[in-house]
Amino acid sequence: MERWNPRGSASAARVPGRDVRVRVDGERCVGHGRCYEIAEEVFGEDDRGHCVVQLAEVPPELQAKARQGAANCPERAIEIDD
Amino acid sequence: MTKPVFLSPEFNADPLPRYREARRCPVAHDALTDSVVISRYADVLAALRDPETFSSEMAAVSIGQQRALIPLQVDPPRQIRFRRILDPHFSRRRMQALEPDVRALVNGLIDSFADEGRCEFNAAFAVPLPCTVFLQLMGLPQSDLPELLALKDGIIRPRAGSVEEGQALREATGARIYAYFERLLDERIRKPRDDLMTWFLGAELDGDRLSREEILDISYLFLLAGLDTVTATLGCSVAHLARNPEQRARLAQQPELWPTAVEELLRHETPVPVVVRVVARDTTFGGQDLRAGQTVMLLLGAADTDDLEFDGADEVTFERETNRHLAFGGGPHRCLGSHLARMELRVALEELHRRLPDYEIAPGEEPRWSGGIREVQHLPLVFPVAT
Repeated sequence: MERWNPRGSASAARVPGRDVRVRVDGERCVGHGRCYEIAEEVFGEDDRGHCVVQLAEVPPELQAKARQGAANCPERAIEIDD
Repeated sequence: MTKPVFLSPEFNADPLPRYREARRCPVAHDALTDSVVISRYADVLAALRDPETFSSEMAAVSIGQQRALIPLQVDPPRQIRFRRILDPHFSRRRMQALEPDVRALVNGLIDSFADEGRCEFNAAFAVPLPCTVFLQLMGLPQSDLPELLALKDGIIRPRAGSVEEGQALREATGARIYAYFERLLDERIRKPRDDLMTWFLGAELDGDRLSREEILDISYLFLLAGLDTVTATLGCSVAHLARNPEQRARLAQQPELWPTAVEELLRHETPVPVVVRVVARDTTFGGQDLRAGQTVMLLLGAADTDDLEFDGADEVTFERETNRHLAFGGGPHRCLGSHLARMELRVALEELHRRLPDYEIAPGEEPRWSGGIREVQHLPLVFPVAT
């Protein structure tokens, strides 16, 4: 299994499949910042350090990272629609 | 042998067995203190996220303050104003900009003992690092360090014979802390500088400035919340790695593991083992009736080692893919300094293990933990001197 690299680059090879939609619940987010530490291509931060989705439609090659970012949110503020 | 009391030095040296025991009764009444102890991950998170029921207002902790500490002891919605003002100054982006200075500071501290082949890690590194970063952020001279350390310790670990004496000492120290920051504010009003204290004076939200009292109440909390916690995390992490050489060797060889390793050490060690709340309204929680006014202890450490949330919760696993630990709390009072702490910890541990990869606890000695926040007050290390 490929080791998860939290500071990894977005150089993943093109993967077949469809985009998935990512949403953040701004009421739940309190700015832990785990999502944008892990998947900075998908999640960004506003001036308070709260999550802003950068890439609402996530292409297949970034989906693993997006899921990792969402899974590490202590507030469960991120939803991914399949 | 009698059981170690919650948060005693004996408890802090080896908390996992007590956490396991606590989770068997997830919402427990502690008769000794008439408080409620909550220990399962899901329950702790739910309580942290519900300040209307579990209030963080002044009644919760008395640490020598005359007014509620801001923003910790103010609940939403009032608290949100303060977080809106403060959060941007502690965002990850802001903290990243400090990284080169912190790295230089870390290396300077390592230089001070690297040639000796031994150090007492707490005094040589874990205490001065976060304190010096704090001084720089606040725009305070390095020469104030001893005074600030004395003030902080007078509150957190008062040297007193009895509980009453301890509380009296806390209040006296509290008055000195207010006086210290009053003086500093006056200086910055006369002569503004590029520091946090000066910025507080001009900070506003929707045209509404921070009052002088509010600035004092924020500064007071920063002094108490910002120093011991990183000190404790550094000590707990290094003590763990000193006792687990195979894990330490992996980190020295694969420094790219540090970001996840820091999270895992935060989870496993949870240096702030408990946060306190007060029940704001009669309620039923986890099948138990809670009375308004009761003190609640949220066992962050027990939550972070709960096997319903974490696979192999008692083990340190750097590859843990999902790690939603609560070492920085959660909900609206999520630690304001978490991004600063994470950066300091990663940089400090990276540099330490790059420069001193082989260390162990000095033969014949044992680390000694404090009560309360898990500071490793005595951590004697030996290591080969680089040639």
